[in-house]
Amino acid sequence: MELGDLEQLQASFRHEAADLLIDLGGALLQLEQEPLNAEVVNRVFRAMHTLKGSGASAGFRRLANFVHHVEEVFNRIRNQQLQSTPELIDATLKACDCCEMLLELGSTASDTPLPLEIEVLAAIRPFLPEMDKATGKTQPAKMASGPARYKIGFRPNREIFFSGTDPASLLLELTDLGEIEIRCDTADLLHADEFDPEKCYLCWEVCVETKQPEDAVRAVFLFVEDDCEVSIEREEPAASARTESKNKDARFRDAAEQCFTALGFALEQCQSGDEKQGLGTAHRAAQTLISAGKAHGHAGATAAAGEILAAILVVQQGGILDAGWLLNVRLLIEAARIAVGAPAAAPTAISSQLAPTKAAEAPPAPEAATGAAAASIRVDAVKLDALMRLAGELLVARGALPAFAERVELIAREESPKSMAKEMRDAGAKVSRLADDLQATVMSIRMMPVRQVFQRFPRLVRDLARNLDKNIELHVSGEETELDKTVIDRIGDPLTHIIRNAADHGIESKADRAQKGKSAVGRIDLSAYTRGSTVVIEVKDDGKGLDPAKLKRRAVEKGLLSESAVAAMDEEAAFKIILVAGFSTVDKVTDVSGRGVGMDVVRNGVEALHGAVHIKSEIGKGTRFRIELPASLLVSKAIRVAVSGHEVVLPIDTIRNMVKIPKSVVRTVQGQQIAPVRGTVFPMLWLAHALSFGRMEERRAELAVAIIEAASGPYGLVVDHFLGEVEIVVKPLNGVLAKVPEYVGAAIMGDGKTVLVVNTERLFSLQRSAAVTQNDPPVALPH
Amino acid sequence: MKRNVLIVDDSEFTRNYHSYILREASFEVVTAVDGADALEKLYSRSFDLVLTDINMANMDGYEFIRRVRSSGDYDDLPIVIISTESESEDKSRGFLAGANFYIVKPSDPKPLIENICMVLGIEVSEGGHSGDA
Repeated sequence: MELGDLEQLQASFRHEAADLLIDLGGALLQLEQEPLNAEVVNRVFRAMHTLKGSGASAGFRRLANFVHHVEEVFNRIRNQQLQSTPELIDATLKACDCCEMLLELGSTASDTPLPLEIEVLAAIRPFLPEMDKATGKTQPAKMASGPARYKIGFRPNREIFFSGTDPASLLLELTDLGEIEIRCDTADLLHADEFDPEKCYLCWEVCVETKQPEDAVRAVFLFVEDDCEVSIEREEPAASARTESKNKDARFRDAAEQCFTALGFALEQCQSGDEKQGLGTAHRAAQTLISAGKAHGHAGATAAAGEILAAILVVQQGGILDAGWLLNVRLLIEAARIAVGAPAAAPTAISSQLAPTKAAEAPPAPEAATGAAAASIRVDAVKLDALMRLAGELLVARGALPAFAERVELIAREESPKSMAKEMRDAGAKVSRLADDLQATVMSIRMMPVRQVFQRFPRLVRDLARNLDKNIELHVSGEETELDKTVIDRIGDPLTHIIRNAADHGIESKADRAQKGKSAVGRIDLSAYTRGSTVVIEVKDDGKGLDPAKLKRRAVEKGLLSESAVAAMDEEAAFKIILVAGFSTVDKVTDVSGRGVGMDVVRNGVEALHGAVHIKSEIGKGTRFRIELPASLLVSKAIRVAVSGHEVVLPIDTIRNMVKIPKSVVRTVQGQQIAPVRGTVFPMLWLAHALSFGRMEERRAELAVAIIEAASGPYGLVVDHFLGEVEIVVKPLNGVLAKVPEYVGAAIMGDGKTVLVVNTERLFSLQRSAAVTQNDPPVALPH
Repeated sequence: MKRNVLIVDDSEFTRNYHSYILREASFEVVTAVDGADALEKLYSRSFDLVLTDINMANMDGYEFIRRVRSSGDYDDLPIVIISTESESEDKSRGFLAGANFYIVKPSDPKPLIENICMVLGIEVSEGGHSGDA
């Protein structure tokens, strides 16, 4: 195997393991609530089993071995030898954390156990009384955790060095597993006529005594076993020395046994009345046995299976299925069993086959998809970004086509350029459709369910509640809501801080809640939903709520805000004080939060995503944080406008509508220009003034106005002309321009020109704060 | 002659891992992420064998196999289940749904190849070393 393959395999294992650990975490929390739910125990067990098996296959031996111990505990729970306890759940959740670390360390992990690993193993030891002893009873032999002895024959391919593998490193890896005896066979070296130093003439016989599962031993040779002769045998008292061909025999017998089992099921089904299905199953089982016999070169078994198939065909082609036929087939099966060399079925097994059992009922309906294991596609983020850029630029490029066609039409004096123009228009329309599709597809890949972030919170709240000695329930809804990947990646921290804050400062202590007559269990609601192109995430607690007066007092005491500033604040502004850096309302610094850092992360994080935070709170009843985020960040629609001979674009999502109004309706009230638009009076802002572009065109009697919906309130933005709608890819500004708050970024247009994107959201408030300091009259205004 | 195998599994790792093992043994491999995807791929070309997982979100293995068998066009197509479920009941469901063979996951490369060759009725060396020939 080439290194690239191994790396790819390990990378995909890492992804899968991360998913499995999340699933596992969820299942464990559910198990804590419902300790007797066998389905959940099974889910935990299966996740661990897969983690272990895939981990060993991908070369994560340490991880596989570690998981094996924990899995064994759940195997005991599954077999009802043990019951799940909160302590065990605690230890297992820690085990998940430990698995994450081992994943990080990867296949290069040394054998020094991590502190957490030791802690977890110590914690689960009581649940595994025989962890250090070899017991074949409670464990599947293949995965035995007691010391077992393996005899390994390793004859490397002579060319092994050319594949970049050093046999010595494999032997060294084996020494990591436990006690080892190595014998080197030098016979080939001594007898080689010509010694070639680039070839490997040695082979080894190794006996290793290890507590690791057999898979761990096999994993050492996983990537050489196709090129080299490798035999690994577990030395058991019953079957000590099995050769490779005997292994093959055993596998053939296992396969044949499986066919007999399937035939058994099939006959039961025939007896229960479903003849057609039963005969189909029997036919396939017999056919499979014939194939296996052929593959293994076992003529006797093949012939015996052929007789079974012949008997089945008789009924399938119209013969009668009666007790005589059933008996005959059973005899043929026994004959085949003998032919294969497997021990004949014990009498009890036969009688159980004869007795109609409930297993012979019609096949049950497919079970519902378990848990949240939804199918998902993994896309390399780099590739995705490239695809995004392409899609965006294709959209932009197609914008140039109609304009080009228009120009051709203008200069066309003959028929042919005209028809050419038409063709170009058609081509443009086609590109347009393709681009729309491409964009939609790519955007949908980028969109991910918010579950990816939400799924970490049940664990967080549980741990917080335990640390704080509070009863807290987290209710999550709207996990399906989709957000852009960038937003998903960056919204976790702000949400974590809000939830921590809710658990720590919002929800009262058990005693306080009892005193206030509130229900003993505090509740935090985490929900997400879509509203237009905005996604709303809410965190609501039923705790003690925020006191605006206290917040204001505190902010002044800490010197964060002036008396006059807080006096002018409305309630929501006062709530938002908690988002100011350096603010903390608690006197006691707790483990969880309350160091006065953190909540400013919320504001900064959300603003960086072009979102907004709103807070509502009622003393004694609780607090609600509401985060509004754009569902997607990348391609957006915009309106091109001309102003003072320049071209800029306005993001369309902030524009309520675009109108033309007569110049004469504009009035100045207390230094602010206002104008009525469709019955409502809006403050007016001249874009040329706001961007310091100099004078507007004055010869027009009409003003082109875009009514902008800003968070601070709507206003009218006066421009020279509207030039039309475009799709733009906004790129953030760098260097000096990055510090100019009037712009959100630059957009590349269809003709390759770069145009600035106006920050319509903040433009008006920027202008108003500037007006306080400078009293220059704005550009010539109509009166 | 290279044999075509359709691998159906919702785990990317498992798809990669099984594909790798089978390709090393000179099989041609096509992968599908769930039952629905597999049905589509199945109609797109001819396969010698299907290796399918059971627990998949969008149409599980049992349903997938039932649909393949009920179509009537694939009565002779060997279908092998590979699943972490190891209970006799799971195997029974698999066989009755229409599977030919059942392998418990995880499986080492060698037994996996041997079992597939047995179901196909071909010698292991034929699948395993045809690249050298």
